[in-house]
Amino acid sequence: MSRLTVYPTLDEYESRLPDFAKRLEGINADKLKKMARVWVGKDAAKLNKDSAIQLLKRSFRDPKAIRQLADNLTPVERDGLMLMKLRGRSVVYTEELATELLLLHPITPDRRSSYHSSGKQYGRLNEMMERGLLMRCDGSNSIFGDSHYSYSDSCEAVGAVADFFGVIDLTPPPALSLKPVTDVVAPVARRTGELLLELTSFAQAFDRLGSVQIIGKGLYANPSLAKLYKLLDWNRQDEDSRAPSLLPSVEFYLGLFLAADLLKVDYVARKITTNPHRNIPLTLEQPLTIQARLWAQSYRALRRWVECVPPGVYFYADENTGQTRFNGLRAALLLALGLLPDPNQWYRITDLSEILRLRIGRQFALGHVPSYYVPWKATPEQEAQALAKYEKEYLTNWQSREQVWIEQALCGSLFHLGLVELASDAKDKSGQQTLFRLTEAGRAALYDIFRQPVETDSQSSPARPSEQACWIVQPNFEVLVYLDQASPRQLGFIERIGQRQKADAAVVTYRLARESVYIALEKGVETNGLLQTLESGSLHPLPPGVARTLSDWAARRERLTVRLDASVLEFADAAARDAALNAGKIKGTAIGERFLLTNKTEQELKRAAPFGGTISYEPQPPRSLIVQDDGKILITQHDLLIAGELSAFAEPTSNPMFWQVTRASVLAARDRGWTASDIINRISHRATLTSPPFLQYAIHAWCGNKTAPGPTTIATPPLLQTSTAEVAEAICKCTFLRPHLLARIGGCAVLIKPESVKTLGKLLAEYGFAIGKEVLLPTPESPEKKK
Amino acid sequence: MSKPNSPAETNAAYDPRNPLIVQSDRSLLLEVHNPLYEEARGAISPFAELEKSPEHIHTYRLTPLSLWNAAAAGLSAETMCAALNQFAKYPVPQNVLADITDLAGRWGRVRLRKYDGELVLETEDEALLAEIARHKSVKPFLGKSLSARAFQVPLQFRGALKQALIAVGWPVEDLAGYVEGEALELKLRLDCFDLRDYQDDAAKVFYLAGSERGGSGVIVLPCGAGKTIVGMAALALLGQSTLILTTSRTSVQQWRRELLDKTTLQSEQIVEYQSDEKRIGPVTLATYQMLTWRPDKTEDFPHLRLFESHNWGLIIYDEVHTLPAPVFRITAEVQARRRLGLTATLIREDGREGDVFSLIGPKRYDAPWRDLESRGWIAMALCTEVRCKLSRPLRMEYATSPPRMKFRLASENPSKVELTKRIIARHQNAPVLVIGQYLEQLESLAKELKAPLVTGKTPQRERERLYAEFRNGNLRTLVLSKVGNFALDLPDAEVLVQVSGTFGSRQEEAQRLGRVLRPKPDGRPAHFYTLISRETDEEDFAHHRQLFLTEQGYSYRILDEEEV
Repeated sequence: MSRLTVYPTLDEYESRLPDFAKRLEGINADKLKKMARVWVGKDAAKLNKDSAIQLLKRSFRDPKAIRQLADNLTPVERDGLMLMKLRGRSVVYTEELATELLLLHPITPDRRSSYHSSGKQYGRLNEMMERGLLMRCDGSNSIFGDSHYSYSDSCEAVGAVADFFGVIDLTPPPALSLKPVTDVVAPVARRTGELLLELTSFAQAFDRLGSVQIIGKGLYANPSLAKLYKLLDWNRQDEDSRAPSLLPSVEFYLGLFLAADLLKVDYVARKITTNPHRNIPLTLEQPLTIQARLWAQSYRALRRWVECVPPGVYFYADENTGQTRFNGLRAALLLALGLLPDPNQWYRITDLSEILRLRIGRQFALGHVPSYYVPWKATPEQEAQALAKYEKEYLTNWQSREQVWIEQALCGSLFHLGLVELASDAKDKSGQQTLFRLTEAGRAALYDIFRQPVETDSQSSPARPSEQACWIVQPNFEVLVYLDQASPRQLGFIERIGQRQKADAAVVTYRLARESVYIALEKGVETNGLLQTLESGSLHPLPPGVARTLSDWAARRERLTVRLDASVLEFADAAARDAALNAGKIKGTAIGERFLLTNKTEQELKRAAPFGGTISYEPQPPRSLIVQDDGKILITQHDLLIAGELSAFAEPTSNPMFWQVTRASVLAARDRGWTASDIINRISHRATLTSPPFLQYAIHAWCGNKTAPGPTTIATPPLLQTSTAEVAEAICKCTFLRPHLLARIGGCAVLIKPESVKTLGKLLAEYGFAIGKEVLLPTPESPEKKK
Repeated sequence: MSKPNSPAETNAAYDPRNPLIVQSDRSLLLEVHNPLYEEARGAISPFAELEKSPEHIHTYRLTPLSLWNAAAAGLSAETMCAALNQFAKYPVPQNVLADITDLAGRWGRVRLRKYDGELVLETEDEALLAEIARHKSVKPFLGKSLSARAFQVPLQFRGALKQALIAVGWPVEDLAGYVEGEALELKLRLDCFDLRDYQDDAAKVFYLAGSERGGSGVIVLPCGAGKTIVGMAALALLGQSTLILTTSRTSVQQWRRELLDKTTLQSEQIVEYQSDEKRIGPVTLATYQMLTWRPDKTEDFPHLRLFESHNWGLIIYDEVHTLPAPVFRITAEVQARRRLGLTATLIREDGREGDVFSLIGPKRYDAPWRDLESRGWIAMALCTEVRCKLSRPLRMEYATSPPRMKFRLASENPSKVELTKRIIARHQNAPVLVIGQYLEQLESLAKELKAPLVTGKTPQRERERLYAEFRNGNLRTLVLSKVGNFALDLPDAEVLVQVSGTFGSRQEEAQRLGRVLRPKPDGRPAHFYTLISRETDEEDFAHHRQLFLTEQGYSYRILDEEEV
């Protein structure tokens, strides 16, 4: 089996973080000294390798040393550790942190060397790594302190060597110099309820599906995706990664939930399942302002999906090939949104793009980073020409690639995640949405995080927003939900108990159906809570019919428990069962009038009480009927179903072991919709032997079947003639007719005793046979047929 | 669920005071309890079709047909869009406004006219005509090309062509007019009864002052709301000989009685067309069953000639939701005659509502049941579902029965007999109808209740006698088979007990409720009981049956048998 190329999530990186102290042994002395300098200053030069290792090991664990270290950190280092603290994690994706540091601390190009080189993208990050504050988490390059030089290092993560977060303060970096726009028209914002509904419905659809298969390259398997699309009732468009998409797809949400660690990859089974350590419903019940932080972080780390692929940029959805540049640019963009001068003002998308270009553009690009080399022995004019050419290419490339992507990210994904709203510039006659502003959720997730304490564990402290009535339950079991008024918890509830019929921007329509209510109860909605929540969220009183029906559905489900391989002990009556229970010889749960559900084995039961035997209902109920020609049925062994089955077409007798099929009982069954074949099949299903053919004909005759058994004749001298050999055979084999017969002559004729003519005729008539007096002549074959 | 809207379609503006929610799939949700409800309803109903009207939110839908009807009545797209914008709680999706403009703009671009007795399809748009003429479904109904802008149309294809053009999205404005039928002098006897405002409106909307824009269509009114009177009012407005088609002989008798009672027509002017006595008169009554009779499956329907055997000015299709296929076919050929469909439930379990629209005509008038109830024109109805248990042996038989037989077993639950008795006892002296599906069950009920049973086998004369006894109060309880489902006028019936039915038929449920909807003199409510075997398939079917009525605003109370 080929290796599954899926890169670990941050949860997984954190759960198997390398022991940094142990890895110090493999690092050469010079590098160790450089690392030690961070902790002890110039004294580090005096250390040999062993003492340096000992010092570092001590320092990693020493809170005092860590506190002192904080005072010696450079601004880059302080910001780097702050950005990790903001994530609430000791591990960060390399690409993200590298680009963020570049944005905060741009590298000013010098004349000769700094106008190019993709390796420079990691310049600031490398500073931190060389000082030994961070180390690589992946196993591919375990040499401590190694730097990153090229894109081939994609998808790796770096971890902090010690717990620095306690000593790192959150300090908002300086705001970007952007000019606000005040003349704004046609602002548009994503409705919160609509977004919450999408998230909730995705989570619940995934829950219903159970898992999504992935293939070797880490791509989602198509059949699973198709099922998920179907469950969500979303239209799947032909994926064209080059075409910008405003619409989020299942792939988008899968990536988002994976990056949020709400889903996890099962590497052995090659599938994505829900993460058992995360409570998805609880996460989705949080107000959007809190959820937004999670979704912003997940969006930054989103894989296998991109907003668009500008010309000259390559993207393959599989994880073998680098796609992290998109994650890098997402990180820079989100950070830039947190550094807006005023979070309530509108800004131009192009202005933001330009700031990003100036800060990171010379070292970072989604595609090829333009290079500039000072020509050898070039005159100042030539040098200026070359520089101008480079500057032009650099600007053009950015505008046609990164800027296109940024526009798409703001107008597409970030708008859809409810983090930004869009508007047009009043002066722009085209009416295009060229302006953006942070939404309330966007401010909470991107701007306020530098200024307010971050709730690191959204799992443990759900903040319940106040809830108001937000839906109308109609007598036809329809529920109309006003999205704007619904809290995330209410949306989660209604999405769980109803079948979504239609979702529009403002109102979603559900239908309460038995199946959906059962599924909800299965998934943990409590019976009592169901009606209570439905009522509390309802703008009008619940229609009585709906309330009653829902209670009935819930009650019915509660009464039914499916037990596999259950053993049920049957007693003669309730008294016998209770006596056995009271005697303490048998343990179990009394069910019905005379049954006991027990987990004892047959052997144990035999020891405990007089035991009549075992009836197995699998794979089918036992064959326990002996059926006679005259319709009498003997039950050789009673079971739970037999009486019910027989009562459909037979009559009970005074002896409980016997039932009787009669003309009246068959006619009654026929009137209820049974056919002769139904009855015969049902008897055959339970009979130990083949049902008597005579009785079969009788049942057909009683049911009014004109073709079977067909006409019969009694002739003089006494001769019984039948329409077919099979009927004659059936009569000859019939035990109670046999005494009246003398011999069978030919296929369809039987000689009968002269004194039995009347009796036999009466008997046959009683069993539905039409009795004639004419001899039946064979139909002459037509000449054509003969030919 | 459709994918979310693009940003351009979403807008932050929101007016919570307004009652209307316009959705991007062209459905309109109207909040009934909003103070602006009446005003908004008045504004949207001319161009939106009422789809359902449950208790709190009514659903309307903008369909091509509703928009074309509105455009035909002279309503502009701007007016329609303005009405939506005025009452919308949330901004109206752009696509809806664009659709209204586009669809309403199609009306009148293709016209059917008559020149010198010849039917002509014409348009100003040459390209459009070329496009239409190339359509596979339209082409067979076009005759020779008269010019780049006109086609000759064979007279017999008038209906089929209109049907085909609607299907391809180009409604034809039929200005060819109607054949004028034989004149008939009659008036409504308004001194004997009051023509209610909605009945008058419905008849006038249909007639449309005799213009060619009216004259065909369907009137949807609840049972007991007086559809027959609307038919008679239309007849009186037109004053031409009329063919009335209905579902049963009983209904024929009812029409006859009503015509004699409420119009100036004389007995000899109203004749019944029968197989043995093919009489035709100024007003001729016939049943669908008789029209669709034929000696053999391979032969033609001899009585369909009735449509062309007289110069009818109007054909009335009573209970148009039951229209059989052969009558559909013949109706396509009589498009030159005015056609009026009457029904309470424009639901066809075979899904052929579209054919009713295109062949009889569009829905001209519709009134929510509960609206008429609130105005006292139909009785207030209390719907109750009573659930009874299956006996223990029967429960086991049910459990072990093949699925096919379970429904019947549950329907014929013998406990229903006792339960019916208790319900009747609860409504002492009230006229009660007991209605069911299975004859044996009904026979046993009739025996136990000591009440007469009317089935399809009951001779017509005997039926009439029993109905008359019931009407005059000599008979308090009547047991009916499916014959009582519709077109049965027993105005005094106050309680109806439904013991079994045709699986999940919504239409049957509504029609049966209709039997008790005639307003009671003292304003007493009607009671509609449905007996269901608890925890059986019957519950699910009942749930489905009740959909239409719950969508009309009725609410079912559910009781256990012990609570009765």
